Order: sequence, then structure tokens, then C-alpha cells
Amino acid sequence: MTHAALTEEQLVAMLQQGDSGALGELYDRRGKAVFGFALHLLRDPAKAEEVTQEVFVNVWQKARTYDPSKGGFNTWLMTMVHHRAIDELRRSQRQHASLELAGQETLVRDNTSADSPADSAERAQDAQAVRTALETLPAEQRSVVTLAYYQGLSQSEIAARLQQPLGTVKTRMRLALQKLRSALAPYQEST
Amino acid sequence: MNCLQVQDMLPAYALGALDAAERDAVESHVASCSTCIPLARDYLQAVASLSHAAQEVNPPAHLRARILQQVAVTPQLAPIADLPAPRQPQAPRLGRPWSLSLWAATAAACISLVVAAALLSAVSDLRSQVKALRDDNQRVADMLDQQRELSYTLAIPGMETMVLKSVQTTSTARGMMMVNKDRTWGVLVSQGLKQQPAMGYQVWLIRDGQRVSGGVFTVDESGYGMLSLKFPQPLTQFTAIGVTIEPISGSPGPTGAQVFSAPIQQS
Repeated sequence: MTHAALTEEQLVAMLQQGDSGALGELYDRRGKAVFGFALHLLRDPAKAEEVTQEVFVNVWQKARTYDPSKGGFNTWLMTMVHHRAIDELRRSQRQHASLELAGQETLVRDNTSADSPADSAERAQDAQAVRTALETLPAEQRSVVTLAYYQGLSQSEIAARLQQPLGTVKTRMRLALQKLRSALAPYQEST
Repeated sequence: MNCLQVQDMLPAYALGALDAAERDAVESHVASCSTCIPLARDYLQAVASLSHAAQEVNPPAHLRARILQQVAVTPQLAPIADLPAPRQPQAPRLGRPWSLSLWAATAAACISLVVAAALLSAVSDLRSQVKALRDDNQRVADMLDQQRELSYTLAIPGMETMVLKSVQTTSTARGMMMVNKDRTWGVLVSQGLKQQPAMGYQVWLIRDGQRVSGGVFTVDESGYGMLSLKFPQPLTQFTAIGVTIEPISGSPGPTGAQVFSAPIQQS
């Protein structure tokens, strides 16, 4: 059986057995999402490429420490991308040029994935759901999510920027995530 | 770092708003804490959904080969279970005085064992108490969050209120749902519902005999529960709302006893 015929769970199991072919197949399936997300956060194709490479090498390196009962593979993968991209964002101190709200166009429009219209429609629907979920949040909760997730500010930096106590920022984050969790439930990975 | 500190940092962790040292500390704790794992998983899943906002983009063609080249020379880390266990500090070896008789040594060892057992028992009790206090603290924090959210909701101009009637006439349970002006989201509050082990209360939006889940909530000891709902379509597209007892993870359709129902006013 070729790797292409396997489910993602089977590929992850093979990865844990040291099968690098499984990593290649996971890259074929998830590479566009990983690179697109890194590019979305960093707005720099070279840095997005660097992050994508680091993330997939990390997936390989840490595959045997991954425990599916603690969360789905995609959650694990995209959390890794986000953390690495945020580290890069902070390191390069380019926060002034960083992102606006989610869902805005990426820079590389002529290099977008050429999938089927159905896939494209589904992704557009997902992106719209995220925008709607964010817009539904009270402004003060939306701002802490945006500053943290899309602009890479730490919670202390957010407290300073908004001139609010750290505890207030933490509470807003918690409330925002509770609402997002509910609003985005259909788009979340089941474990 | 203890559970309470970690749980306080989990939303920021999920959003990537911790510095690298804090993040490592949280990850290190969560990796081996059965209490914090499900909380971390829930937050991370919610946040991972935000990545859908990004457009998929084909990476450069050479990247795949470069990654696989690097992988070929990179060893995999051992699973956590295979990692060597932390070394336990060893008690210093005491030289036994040659003059101490065997029975005295045995008696001393027995006394030590009894004292050690008593200490272990006391430590275990203390741990249980600390865990109970942490759980209480978390419950209070959650209640405070809910109250804040409710206050915020009530302060929004144009909010409308729906009363959810208990299906059982003898029940004292009450429900209320506040809905925004556009009827696109709402907050449901319950009182007097029975706390059900491993079960929750699932909200159903009803139209043409079809039921769409609005989410699941649980209640505290007093029967108080709260749920924020984001309606898939404006509430006026539905004819009624109902609440049934379901597994805490939710059901695809109603399976348990109904507790609340209410028609939806179309105007």
C-alpha cells in the first residue's frame, strides 16, 4: 500500500516507527496549510519557508513524543507553526509591519494552491467562519486575541499596550477562547 | 509550577502569548498532568481553528527535498515513556556502629518505616486537600468569568429575553435565553437543573422537525448553568428551542429526556 492511500492517523503511526516516507506524505497533505499560515503570520516568504522546514523536521524529530490522546495531529502541527512563527516575529522585531485581522489576503497571490473548486470553497467557508467568530467577540476580547495570535505580543506586552492589568488581559483571553471554542466547534479536530 | 499557575497561563499559552521560558514550563507540566491535559487540549484546538483564516499557499518546490534531506540525518527523540526516569535522591548511607546490636538496628528500622508511612499518609492527605482547594478556586474563577460575561451581555442595548419552560410541570427548573437584536447569538442561563454525572444539557434549535445542536452545558451543584450560543442562522429561521439531557460530549440528535422547550417568536 502506498503512503497516499493511508489515513493521517496511519501516517502518524508510521512516522513514529521511523518511516520518513510518511513524513513526505504528510508534507504533501499539510505543507500548503503550514506554509500558508507561516506566510500569513510572517509576511515574508523566506522566513515562512524556514519555519515550514523547521516545523516538519520537528514533527519528524518529536513524532514519538506525540500522544494523540492529548490532541489531534493538526492541532499539534499548527500550534508548532504558530509558536515558531511568533518566535520569529518577535526575533525579527517586525511587529510594526505585522498582521491585520485574520482572513486578509496573503502577499503571494500568484503562488496559491491550485486545488479543486470544492476544496477552495471549503477553505473560503472556514476562513469566513473564523472571521465571523472573531467579529462576534466583544471588542476588548477580540483585541487581546488579535494582538497575541496575529501580532505575536506577549500577555505582559498586551497589558502594557492596552494599559490594563495583566489579570484583566488573562480573563479576556480565557473568555475569548471559550467563545471561539464554541463558535468554531465544527472546524475543530476531534480527538 | 503547579496546576493552578499552569491553568492560569493556558489561554496565553494557546495564543502564543508566553515567552519561551514560560511556554517550556507550561509544556513540561502539561506533558505529565492528567488534570491540565484536557484543558490545554481544548484551548489549543480552539486556537488551531484560527489558522483556517490563512490561505493555503504552495511552498517552494525545492523545500520538500530539503526537508527530507535534513530528516535523513536527524534522529528521532525517544517517546516520553522511554526517557530515563529522573534519578531519585538517595539517602546517605550511614555506617552502622559496630557496637549496635542487631535487634536495636531492626527496631530502629521498624520505627523509621512507621514514621515514613505516617509521613507519606500525611503528605497524601495534604495533596488531596490542595487539589480540592485548587478545584474550588477554579470553579470560583469560572463562575466569576460567567458573571462578567452575563453582565456584559445584559448591558448590550436591544437584548431580548426568552423564557424556557420546564417540560415537567412539577419541576422548579427555569431557563432564560438572552438574544441579541439581530438574533444571531445569545446566552442561555438555567437554574434548578439536576447535576448529572458525566452528562450535560444539550440545546436544540428546531425547524421542520430537524434539530440542530446549539451546544452543551453543565450545571453546578445549585443547578446553575450558562451557555453562549452562536446560531448557525438567525434564530427567526427556527420555530422552537429545546434542551435535553445528553452525554457531555453532545449527541448528533436528541436521545435523552427533554427538560426545557420554548417556541421562537418570529417578530
